[in-house]
Amino acid sequence: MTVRVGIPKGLLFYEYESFWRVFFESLGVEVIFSPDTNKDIMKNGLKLCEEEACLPVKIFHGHVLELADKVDMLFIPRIRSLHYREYYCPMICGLPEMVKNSVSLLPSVIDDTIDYYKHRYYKGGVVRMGLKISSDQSKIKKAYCKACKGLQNKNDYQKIPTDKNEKSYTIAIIGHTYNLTDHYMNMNLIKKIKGEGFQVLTSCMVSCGKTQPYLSKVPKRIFWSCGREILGAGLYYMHQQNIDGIIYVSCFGCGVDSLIEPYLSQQLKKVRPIPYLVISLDEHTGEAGLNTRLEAFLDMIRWRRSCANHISSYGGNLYSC
Amino acid sequence: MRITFPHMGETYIAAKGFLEDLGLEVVVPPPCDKETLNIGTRYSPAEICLPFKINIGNYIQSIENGADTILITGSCGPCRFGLFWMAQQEILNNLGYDVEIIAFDPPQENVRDFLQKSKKILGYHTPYQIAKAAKNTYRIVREMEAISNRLYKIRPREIEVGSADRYYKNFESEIYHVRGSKAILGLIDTLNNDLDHVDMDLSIKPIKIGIVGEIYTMIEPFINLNLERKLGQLGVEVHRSMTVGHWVETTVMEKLFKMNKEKNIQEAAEPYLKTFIGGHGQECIGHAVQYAEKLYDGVIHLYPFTCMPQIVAKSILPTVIKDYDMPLLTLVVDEMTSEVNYQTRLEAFTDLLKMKDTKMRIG
Repeated sequence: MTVRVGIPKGLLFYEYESFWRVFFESLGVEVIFSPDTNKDIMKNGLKLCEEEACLPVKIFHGHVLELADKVDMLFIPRIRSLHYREYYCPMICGLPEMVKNSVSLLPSVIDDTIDYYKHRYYKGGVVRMGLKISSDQSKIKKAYCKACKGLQNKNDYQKIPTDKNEKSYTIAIIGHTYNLTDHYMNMNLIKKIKGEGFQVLTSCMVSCGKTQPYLSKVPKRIFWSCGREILGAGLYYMHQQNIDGIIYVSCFGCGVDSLIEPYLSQQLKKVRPIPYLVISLDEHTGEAGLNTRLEAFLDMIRWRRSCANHISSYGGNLYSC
Repeated sequence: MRITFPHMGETYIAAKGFLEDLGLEVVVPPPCDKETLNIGTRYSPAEICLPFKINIGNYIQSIENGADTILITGSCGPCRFGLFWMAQQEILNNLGYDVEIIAFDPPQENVRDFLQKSKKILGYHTPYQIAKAAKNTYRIVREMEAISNRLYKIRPREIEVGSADRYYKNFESEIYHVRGSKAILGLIDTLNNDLDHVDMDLSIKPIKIGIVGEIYTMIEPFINLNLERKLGQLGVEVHRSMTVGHWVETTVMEKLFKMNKEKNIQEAAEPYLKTFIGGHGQECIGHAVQYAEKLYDGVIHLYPFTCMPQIVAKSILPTVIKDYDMPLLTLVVDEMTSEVNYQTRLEAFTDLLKMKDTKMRIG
């Protein structure tokens, strides 16, 4: 019987899914993903996890429980750093320990560290993980190379339309990849906006090279990979003339967002005051609140173009605050 | 240049001594109080942790007293403290204050930047003068640590409750009026003499509690609502796992001279948390294990709301205390923390520990 490795569908899964799938499948094991987030997963996660953790971490715990009795091995890597001089957030660094101490009756866990900052290469960590499945080093290295190729193909970023379209509106949605991609958690935010006839660009679409010129002007180097991506994407979109509004999807209690978001909103005020909305996700699942805010925001964008006559109202102008 | 810095417990005494020895003018922010917190909460982002808010409060109060340069240390992750000054500079500029924040990131981050900033502060003093000032400052840090340790021993044993703290309060109010490390060391000597005269009942065998958690919350008495004093008055001998001296040693010495003094703590934490996660998350686990091994009666875990590394630590600590069979109380502070609630929980916790203690003695 082949070994079954379970990968929970949460946090960094959305960015590196293809890599790990190819890697484990090349080693000849069966890879099982947890289902998309649903009500039960969220409920279980809330029950198991530390109450102060952020929502994505809680949901991750739910995914782990979902997989725990279906697989022989669970894959929860400790991702400390994937780029030079950068870390991930402390909760992602300590994720395996958090899970192991909160969920009981776990199968064996693949929890080796990937620390690019310290070791300057990924291979060591990945090979160590592979050794838990197979003892054949050359096979593991081959699997690693194959998986890397898949990652390169994935990274060709989508072409972002930069021409100003008179008819349709374009909104940039920025935030952690897991906040944007988990549609249960963000209550189908992107689908809702697209349904209203808006074009949507997300922070995952901007490549590193495009954000670098803007990031180099930030007084302090951002030492979180995720924070750098978000801030870079935000600053990039802010300077694009075809963007009509920006939505920042954050989650309650996120330490990265708590500093990046205020900085971004300050810059927005200085550079180009366009409509800006911050959505803070938490475990409350009532959609009405989100819908109302979203509708108001979209209306504002529409009316800015159709109704604003560029004559300031009394005591202020239409584009400030 | 009138320099100020944020409060962190008794750090201001050492910082004041060092900067004044170098001939700089120092504006020590008024002691943290409700007003500081109010100012800080008003101008800070809502979701940020409490230390940030207190810092903003300190800065604005100092600026109103005439400061124009703010001096802090930096860091480069993974805790969010490293990005504080970027956001704080933005906030202060928006409020219309013309101040400059000089943040010292670790030198390996950007050597030229580090040297430029050092030059700004150190001016054209000779290395001998700087070394002398640093030596005196280190002496102050050590002396203050000794005084804290004395107070932990005195508080549960003193006959007239609060007499030691009265001396300490006097000492704190005089610090503001003296200048230079020599004068400060003089005041410390007087305080030591005063503490010699506090009457103690040495037959009392108090229970012992160790405090672990986030460094700023542990060290700053305003933010933790005078936890040490409260516990002392409840008849508990406390020990704080992190002090200013400890911070200087681990941060400055380790970064500059690559001396790792925390190795034993990291080893103690190893079975529970293998990697460093920033914000003293790993140290917190290590200290808890060490307290358990030293047979302390209980441990209090203290951190500000939404502190990421400490949330990881909090989810691990239950396993630690199960393994060592040691009681644990977790206290999370934010700007809404009420003193009464806090006091009640502390009383209940210490009562439980005392009962456990006597039961074990009776058998």
